[in-house]
Amino acid sequence: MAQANNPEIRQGSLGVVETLGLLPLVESTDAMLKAANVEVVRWEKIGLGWAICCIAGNVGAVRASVEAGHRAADRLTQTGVAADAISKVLGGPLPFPALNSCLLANPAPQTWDWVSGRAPSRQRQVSGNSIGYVEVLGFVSAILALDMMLKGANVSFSGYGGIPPRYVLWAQGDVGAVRTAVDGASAMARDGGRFVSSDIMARPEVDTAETIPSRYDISTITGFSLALPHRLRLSAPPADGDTPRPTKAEKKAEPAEQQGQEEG
Amino acid sequence: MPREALGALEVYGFPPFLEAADAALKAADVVPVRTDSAGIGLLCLYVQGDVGAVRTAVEAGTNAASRSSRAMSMVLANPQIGQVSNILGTSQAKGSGGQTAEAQADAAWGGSRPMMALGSLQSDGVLPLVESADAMLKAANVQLFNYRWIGLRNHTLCLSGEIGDARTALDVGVQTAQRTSGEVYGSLLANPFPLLFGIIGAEPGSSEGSGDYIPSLGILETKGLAASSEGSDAMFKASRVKPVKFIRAGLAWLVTFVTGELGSVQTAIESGQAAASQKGESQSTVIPNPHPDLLPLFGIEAQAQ
Repeated sequence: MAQANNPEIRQGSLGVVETLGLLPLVESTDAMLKAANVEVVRWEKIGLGWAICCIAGNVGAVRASVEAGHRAADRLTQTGVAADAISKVLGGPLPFPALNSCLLANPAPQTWDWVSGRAPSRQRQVSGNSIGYVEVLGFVSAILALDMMLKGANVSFSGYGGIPPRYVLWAQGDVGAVRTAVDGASAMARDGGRFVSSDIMARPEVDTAETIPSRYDISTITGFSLALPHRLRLSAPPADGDTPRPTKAEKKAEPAEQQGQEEG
Repeated sequence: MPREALGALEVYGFPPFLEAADAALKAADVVPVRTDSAGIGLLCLYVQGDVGAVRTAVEAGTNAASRSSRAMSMVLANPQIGQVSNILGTSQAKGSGGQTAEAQADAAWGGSRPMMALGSLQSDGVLPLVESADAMLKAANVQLFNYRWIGLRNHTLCLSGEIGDARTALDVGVQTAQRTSGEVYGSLLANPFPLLFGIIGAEPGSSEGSGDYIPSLGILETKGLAASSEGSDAMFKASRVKPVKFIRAGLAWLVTFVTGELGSVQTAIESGQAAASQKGESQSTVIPNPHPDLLPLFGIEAQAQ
């Protein structure tokens, strides 16, 4: 798959169109590029028949573009070829539309990083030792949930997992902040019928905290990866650069030290 | 300026996709530039050409596929060709500009195109497909190739041979697969468009049997790792069989292939099926004396025992 990533684009607004099946997205992409002056930052099959096209530009252009793209894809998604294939597996009709789109007028920096498929350039460190997650269906729901979490409360995005198109987003911070973030993101996903589950762990056991992705895990962006937490840990976090991966003992020691510093 | 339009076809199922691609390429002077797959049994073909030709081609393709499956198509009459092509990866076909499809086919095949029928078969799960592949190889003089998983539980393969042989084999294959598979698609193209072999990315004759003697083959297909582990454990404890292949067959279905003497394989499969069915859905079969070409088709390296 040709990657249309342009790492230089980090400002302005973001738009995403997500379709079930490739044809609607091809038509949509063409319509979006013709509608306004926008650039495609990501075009990818994310799994189970879903594909996404992310565009960037100034807010007016992105808005016009996403609207045009949504309209163009609508015609083809209504033929329902892809929805039929999926509903055979589900044993019933698709519980939500085979087309979704969104506009993020002023996305958070980490939302940019995730959408453009890169490791975060700056990771905001937030104090607090609680973690929480929200699990949603679809990339559009996932980035809306992420943006909501990051803007709605003082939390940091600590990683994600799940088998696309199902995404699990983890937040870390004070228990109150995490609760606000997770509740806000859950409410947003519930509106579209794409909410799966959420949970908050206040002061998780160190071993529990270790099993969740501690950093931004880039391996889950491109490939099909198992949702098993220990699998997520196997790939070295790209943010580490060239430094060797810590051994298990060192890893265990780290969170304990951090806790001590915060208390002191 | 030729190739100003981009057309695309998206079809559910590999056999209907081949029918659609064949019909599209025969209907008008268009150039196939790329195939793609959404990963849920949907296959996509992109073609370029004049807008009229592209429109005729994708309509013919959709009509052909709609007889047995579901299909949709679109035409971008004046696409943002640079950007859209870069994204889709369809820009490389521009190099062969000016040539007609016929000329390209002649160039690809050195002027001597084989006049072989091209068939394909698709089933739910690996087990029905292995059974019908064996039946097809034994029924007529055909070559099987290009075994693929195209998403969900859809597994496909292609066959080619003289038209009479191919028709006989495909009939047998479809009947065999229908015994155990919920959904079976079969298609036969008597005189396939030569570029089709390029589109499916494989040619007949790529999987030749080693000629090793394989006493018999057992297959246990289960849903979920728990059922698979229980079943395999029971199989290896029940009798002396050798595991030769393990396939992830989509939607949590897992397939274990074992070989051994017929009696051993039968005992093993019986025990394995009994154990696995307590943990989840499962199906199993024993193929005595499999055709030598069968195992290489599914990537099984069997050694003489």
